[in-house]
Amino acid sequence: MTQRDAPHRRRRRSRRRTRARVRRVLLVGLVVVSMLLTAGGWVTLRGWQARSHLVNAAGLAKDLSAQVLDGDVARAQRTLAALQEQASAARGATGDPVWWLGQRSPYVGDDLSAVRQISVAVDDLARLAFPTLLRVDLASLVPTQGRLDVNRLRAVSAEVSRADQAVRRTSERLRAVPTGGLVTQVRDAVTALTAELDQLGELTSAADRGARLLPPLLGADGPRTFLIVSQNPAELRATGGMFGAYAVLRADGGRLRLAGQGDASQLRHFDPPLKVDPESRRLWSDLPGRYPADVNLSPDFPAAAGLYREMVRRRTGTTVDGVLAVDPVVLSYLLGVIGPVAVPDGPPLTGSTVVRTLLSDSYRDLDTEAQDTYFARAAAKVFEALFTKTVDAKALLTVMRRSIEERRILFWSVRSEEQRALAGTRLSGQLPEKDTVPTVGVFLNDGSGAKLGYYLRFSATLTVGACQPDGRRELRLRVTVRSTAPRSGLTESVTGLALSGDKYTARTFVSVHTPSGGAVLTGRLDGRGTALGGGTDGRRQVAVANVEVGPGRTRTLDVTLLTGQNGAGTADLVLTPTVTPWTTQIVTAPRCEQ
Amino acid sequence: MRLSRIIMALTVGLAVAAAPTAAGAAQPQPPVYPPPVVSLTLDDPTIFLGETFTLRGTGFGPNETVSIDVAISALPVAAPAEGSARRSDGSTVAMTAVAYTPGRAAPQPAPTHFTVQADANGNFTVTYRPTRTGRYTFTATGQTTGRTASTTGTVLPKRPPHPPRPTHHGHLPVTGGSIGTPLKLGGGLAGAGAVLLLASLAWRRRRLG
Repeated sequence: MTQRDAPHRRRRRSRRRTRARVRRVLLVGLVVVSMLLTAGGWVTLRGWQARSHLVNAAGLAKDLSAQVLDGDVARAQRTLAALQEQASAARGATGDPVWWLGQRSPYVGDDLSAVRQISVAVDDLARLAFPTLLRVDLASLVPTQGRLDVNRLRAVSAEVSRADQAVRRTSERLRAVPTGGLVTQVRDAVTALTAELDQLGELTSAADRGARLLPPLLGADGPRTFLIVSQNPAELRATGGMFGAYAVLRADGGRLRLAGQGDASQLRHFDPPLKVDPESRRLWSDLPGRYPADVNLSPDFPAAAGLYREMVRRRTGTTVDGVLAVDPVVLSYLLGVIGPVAVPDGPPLTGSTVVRTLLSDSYRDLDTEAQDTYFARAAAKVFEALFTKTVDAKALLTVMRRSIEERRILFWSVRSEEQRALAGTRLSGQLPEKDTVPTVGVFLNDGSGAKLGYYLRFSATLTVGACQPDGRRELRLRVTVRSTAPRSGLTESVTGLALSGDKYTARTFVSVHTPSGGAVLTGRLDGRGTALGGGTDGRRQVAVANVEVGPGRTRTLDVTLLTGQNGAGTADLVLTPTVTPWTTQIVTAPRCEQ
Repeated sequence: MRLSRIIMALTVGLAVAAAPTAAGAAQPQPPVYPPPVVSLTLDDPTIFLGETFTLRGTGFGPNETVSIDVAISALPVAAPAEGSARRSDGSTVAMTAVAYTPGRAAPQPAPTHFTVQADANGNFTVTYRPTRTGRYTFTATGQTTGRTASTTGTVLPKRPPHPPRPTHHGHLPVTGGSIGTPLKLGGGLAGAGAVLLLASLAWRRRRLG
């Protein structure tokens, strides 16, 4: 019995032991799984909370921006407080230890970490950047009674600078988030926030630059003298138009006054010509150094401004610290804000009619001498009104921003540190040294010696084409030029030298500047091969085509280009600003696979 | 004697009076301010190694000899390694310059300098076959008129034989990503549930058995 029972007992004991072990394993498994599920549930809950806080914050940010633009400071302050609360809650929701562990887990770790980064970014903006931007009084950035309070501007400058740094830091951190393996919603959120931060960054860096540059430029550290040059788009030049009337402006302690004015024709021409940059000389010979009317045949505004400054110095003895260029379209925007301005011996200037009055009617109704006097008086009167009338600060800043965006206001300072601060902005009037996306320049110069530019309409389509095996990319540029000029009835001062051979046919040289490191493959005018002049602009190749267009006609220039080794699926256009803005289209494509 | 003196005085006077006019005629007039139509062009401003530039000049003197200088510089962005190292010493430029009139003997130019003769209208066409990549700046100078013009072309490395890769992989929109997370979460939970269910079943069977 005992002998028979022994194996049976042993078996039972071993079964009990196995069962106990299984039970222990299962129990541990159960505990682990429940903990994982609890943690997962917790993270999901917190994620859900963070998401709703972030969605609320996004809505509030939109409200805030509208309220700031409306100048409703009290409501904007309340919105900001709510936004800060939401942003901080989102940051809190993604900041606990369980979330921290979740970020290190496989599979969902990168998503959780990206959500955390978004929350931190929004919270940083709400705490560090937005309050400053709300505190900055826009009115401190515009002159009142002919004077700008430079001390107030200096005080604002420090704050704006801090906000700009906060935005830049946040933007860099967010850019470092790898988006490759993220789920679509999180990736979209990161991309959208990065894009918005880029926009905000542009604004804060512009404000920062402006607040830092304006005090010294306005004579806070000693008097400064500038030339204000009016570009005349009726006779096209690469930076906008021929330099016509100019005024000398003196700034001292934030106060601005007109110290003289003149006309390009008084500067006559220079023989021997002034020294011209070799690349520019190969394209345009010595003309930029010979005639004040030709300093801006190349689109490099600093070079043009430098030549014009020297020409004014040689003829008048006035040495200026910088050159500011504007065009009649800028005047039309400004008049829209300051209201109509009366000009003695001529029609009053209003926002809606100034372009026609200055660029068409005056050539029809006045002789050459009367035109010069009228242009000079008009510029002086608008200037006077701008600095003495009480204007709506917000509206003024909006039109200034629009003018800068359209490259209708350009500025060059003789001081290299100020020029460095301007580099890369639209105000500087230069193609970027390095392309972030392949940038194509299309610049116009009149070759007829006439004022027919007022009647020309331009359009440009840039299509991103096939990827090349060497990492380049083909771009197809189509430029159309349409003339709305009448067939008769224009005065001699409009038809001018008529070098195209016909008084009503405008000859325009279209210069195409390739992206950095790129090349011009072919050029065709109305589908037929056309002779292209060629040159260089640093790392860009330049091709120049002659496009002659008669009244009512349209001509089409097709240029095939190659980018540098840049597989980007997008591209950018930089254009000569014209009387009527260009119609532009950029057709993008997917990025090239490397 | 007196007559000869008078003639002499007249001649001197005339010479003095005519001198500024002659000097004025000889001196080139300053150009008008609007830029002129370019007088030196390339049919295609960019070619690939092995292809030929066609250089056209206009506005030179009738039958004028035009000297052409070629300055070669590196491509603005480093060209791909293929081919460029082998040709880095390539200072020789093979020329196949031909005059505008067919049949005229081609000039035998130096690598970076050669001359062509314009036709009766002051025009010329010449072809030029570079043997290395780079930026080529051609400067044409009329030997009688002194007129100069320049243009720049680019020579890129040879195009590889295979066609460029297509950029589009169909035009269907990318879909399905937006429900990824809920699916993954749901799948995970269902999986965990199944594991638990199996475990409990096994446990019960063991206990009963």
